Amino acid sequence: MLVTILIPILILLGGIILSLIFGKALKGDISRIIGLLTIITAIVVTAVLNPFTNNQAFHGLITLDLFGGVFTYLFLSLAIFIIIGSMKMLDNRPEMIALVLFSTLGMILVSISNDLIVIFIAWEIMSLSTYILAGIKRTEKSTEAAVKYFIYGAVSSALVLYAISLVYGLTGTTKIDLIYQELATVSGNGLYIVGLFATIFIFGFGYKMGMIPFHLWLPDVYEGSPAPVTALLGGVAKKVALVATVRIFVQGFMSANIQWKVIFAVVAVTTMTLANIAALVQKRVFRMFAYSSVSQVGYMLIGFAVLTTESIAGMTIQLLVHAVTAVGVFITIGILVEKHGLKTMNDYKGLSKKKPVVSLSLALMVLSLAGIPPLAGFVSKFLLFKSAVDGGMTWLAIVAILNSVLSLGYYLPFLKNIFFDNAIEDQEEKNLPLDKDWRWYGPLTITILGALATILLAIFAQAIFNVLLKAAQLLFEV
Amino acid sequence: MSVGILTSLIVVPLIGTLLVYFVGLKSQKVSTYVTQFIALATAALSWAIFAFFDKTVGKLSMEERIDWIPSIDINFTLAIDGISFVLILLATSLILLVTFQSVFVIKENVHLYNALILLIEVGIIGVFSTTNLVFFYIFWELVLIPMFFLVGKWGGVKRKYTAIKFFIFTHVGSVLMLISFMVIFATSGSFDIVYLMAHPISQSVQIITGIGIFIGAAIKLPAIPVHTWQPDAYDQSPTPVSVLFAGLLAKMAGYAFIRLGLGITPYGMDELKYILIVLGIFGAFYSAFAAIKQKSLKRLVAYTSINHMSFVLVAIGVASNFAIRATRINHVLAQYLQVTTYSQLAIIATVFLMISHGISIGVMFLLISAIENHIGTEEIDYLGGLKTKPVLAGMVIVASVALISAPPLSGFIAEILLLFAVVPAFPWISILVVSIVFTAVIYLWLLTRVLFTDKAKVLNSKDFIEADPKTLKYELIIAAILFIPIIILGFFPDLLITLINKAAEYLMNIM
Repeated sequence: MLVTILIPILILLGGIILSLIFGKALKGDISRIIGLLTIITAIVVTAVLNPFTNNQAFHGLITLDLFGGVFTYLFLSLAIFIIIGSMKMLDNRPEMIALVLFSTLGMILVSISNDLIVIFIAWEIMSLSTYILAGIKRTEKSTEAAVKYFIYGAVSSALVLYAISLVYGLTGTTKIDLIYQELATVSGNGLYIVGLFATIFIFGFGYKMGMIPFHLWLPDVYEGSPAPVTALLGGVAKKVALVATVRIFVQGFMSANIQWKVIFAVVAVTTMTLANIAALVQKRVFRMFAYSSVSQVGYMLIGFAVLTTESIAGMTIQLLVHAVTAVGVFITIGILVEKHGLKTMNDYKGLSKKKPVVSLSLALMVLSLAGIPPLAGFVSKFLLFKSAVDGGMTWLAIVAILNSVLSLGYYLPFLKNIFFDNAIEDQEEKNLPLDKDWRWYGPLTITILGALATILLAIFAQAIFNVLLKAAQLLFEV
Repeated sequence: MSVGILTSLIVVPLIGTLLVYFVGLKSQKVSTYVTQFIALATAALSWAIFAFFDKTVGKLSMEERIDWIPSIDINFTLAIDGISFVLILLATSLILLVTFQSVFVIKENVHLYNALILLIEVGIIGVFSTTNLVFFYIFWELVLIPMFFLVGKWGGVKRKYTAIKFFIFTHVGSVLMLISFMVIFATSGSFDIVYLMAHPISQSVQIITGIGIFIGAAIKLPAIPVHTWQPDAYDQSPTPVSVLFAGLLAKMAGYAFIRLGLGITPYGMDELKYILIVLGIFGAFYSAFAAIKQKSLKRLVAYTSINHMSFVLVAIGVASNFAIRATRINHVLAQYLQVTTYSQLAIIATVFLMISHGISIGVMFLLISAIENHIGTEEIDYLGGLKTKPVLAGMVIVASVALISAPPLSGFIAEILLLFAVVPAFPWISILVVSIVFTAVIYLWLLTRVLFTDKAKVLNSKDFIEADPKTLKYELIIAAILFIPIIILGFFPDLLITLINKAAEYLMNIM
């Protein structure tokens, strides 16, 4: 049991060391190839050993259930997306590969941990790597983003650590399944302490998720970081906070007699509504998609507010679909910003005439984000909102659906610019000199994969949903 | 998994969409031929359903099914009854004509345009044939997105504003519908229309979900307070797309009222019946008054289209009245039409009106398209130039006569049936007759203004280049084809009524 999960992790660590040594020495694509090989090996080995047998390892520090398994595979696959997508855009920074692998390692550990301390350490592994990644370009904006992200992140980590100390003070343990049993018996004044550390946890994770009102760092960082890093932050790293919330709240704190549903419902409604309104007025594309991804987190929080097996499964599928789509969108925007200098909404006017394939892919992904049928974003949102109706919170589903209508207020003008409008006259000057490097096909592949995923994930929705439903059921069986 | 002719009706245009788009990247001309061929094939397939269709069966039959997410009952299930069948025929035939007409109107990005038209065909056929609520929503939205692009890319001066307005309005309606579907699932555990008709949900839930379905369909129809997107959309769309708007999209809403409203939430519709009737009557008059003031021919037709759709609203309101469900007709009409109850007659009249109106307004917009191509304006005051094209002018007159429901054309049968059905239940509805007169006045005044004026002016004369006069002949032939069903249905309404009779009876007998 111990060995089966250790081997993939050791493979990742080995890959990190190799890419650090050879990447710096040989330059070029060597470290990228090492990174890819490492992840593929890790996926294959994990699939062969299949450690996720609903068991615990390392004296209960690690829990190997289906839920962790799903996210292990998800984070590994998305790391492939990021590494391929970073071609050309971050070619002169080979250490980036090692950092991506490091953060992936941290994410996997968060998703399989059963202990608050392990979660915290894994959280820090992930965070520290992403801080460096945000500033990896060493331009003014990138550095500013990194510093901003680091300061907010440090506060977030400190809050989480403080909350862990409170949990330990109340229950005398940091193991999540034991906390669950302990909290079930807490009553009276003890509940205030539960409320206190739960709030602090929500604050701490809220920073990372970009939950409103802790989102202020997010648009700046997303815009300032290099695009592949933004993809990592917006598509993947943010989801880790949700996974941690599942681990800590659903498996740990929910036994306490507190109105969890109300808390999460309020947070969900605030986040999605305010983020959608904020996105409406954005002029720069990266910032718009930053707010869009905040609003998506708002939808996902519905899963916690309803708190049934279906809703957690619905949250997970929404998370999965958004992760893939967001990586695709951010990489695509990255290409357009880096290669063509298209930064503001107006720059996108008439894009469909010049770049039909990219425009079509982008349209598919954006429509999927908006939840337009029959794309994957529709299926995931449908399952999530349906679970809210089934769980007796129809009002929340209505608010969420109206919000997704509101979100069309910025997705549609974006598509309108791409497809209907003619290019603005002076745009030719803005274009950087045409770059015919074959390496651009790397990120372009991710664009097309992201667009295909919006269709494929929809077609195989039943299979995916079955797995996620099973994973969610196992979570509740503890 | 079982597939057959209904699935192929959806798959053929879907494959056509991709085919046309990619062929069009190489050659626009070939892509047009491919589009016309695909539309022809789809229309032929839909007429071939006659071979399988049993008009003595009232319930949804010819089931086909592909599983998608069976664990929560989201499956691709298709089935049709008489009502959906005739609407499918209308859809495929109108779209076939539109693909031919578009050649004279759309000159840029032809392949993209054609691909979107075929995608709309997928959506419309899907709406009319699916029996799964989630797929109903998916197809309903599938019509919306190509429409958004068609209006936004090929439309008139205000096209971008119109596209977004249209999208937001109808999308709000459809998501409210979607919430209703979710609530239906939460209480019944099924998205299947056939199952839900056999196992009705509780009355209180029917009322809540009925409201959602009502709002969604009313926006699409459009009913009066939520109609403001419609004149803009009809006016700003390229004219072949206006044909789709008026001829088919409004019928999707009527179909949603019948299939979902009356089929799944009959109690909810019963509670809403007075709202439907009053909105209908109000809408009939409001739109008639609004139409009088219009300066543009397209907007005028758009408002009279609201007028006709208001009749649909009234008829459905009467049909949803439980109190008269069992009231039997005991005069000669019952014997002649094989109709037993007034509510059944109301449904028949509704469908008849939708078909008749779909065809007549299709002709009208096709003619307007010819006017735009060859006269250069559709401002009513400056249409004097119409005199130079006597055949076109003559056809405009016939189309107007068809739209004012004058005998012996099909519109007359539709409205007279409708009045026979609704007036005995609520005699005060007979006030609707006045609005029929208004419509007649509007069109006759339109004709006097057009035919007896000498003012011929080409707006934007710099931009206007008259299309090749030789093409006028073909454009008129395309439009003239639609006169055939208008006249045939006027003389032999039985042809249509026997198709929908049993379906209407079955629908009115479920409680």
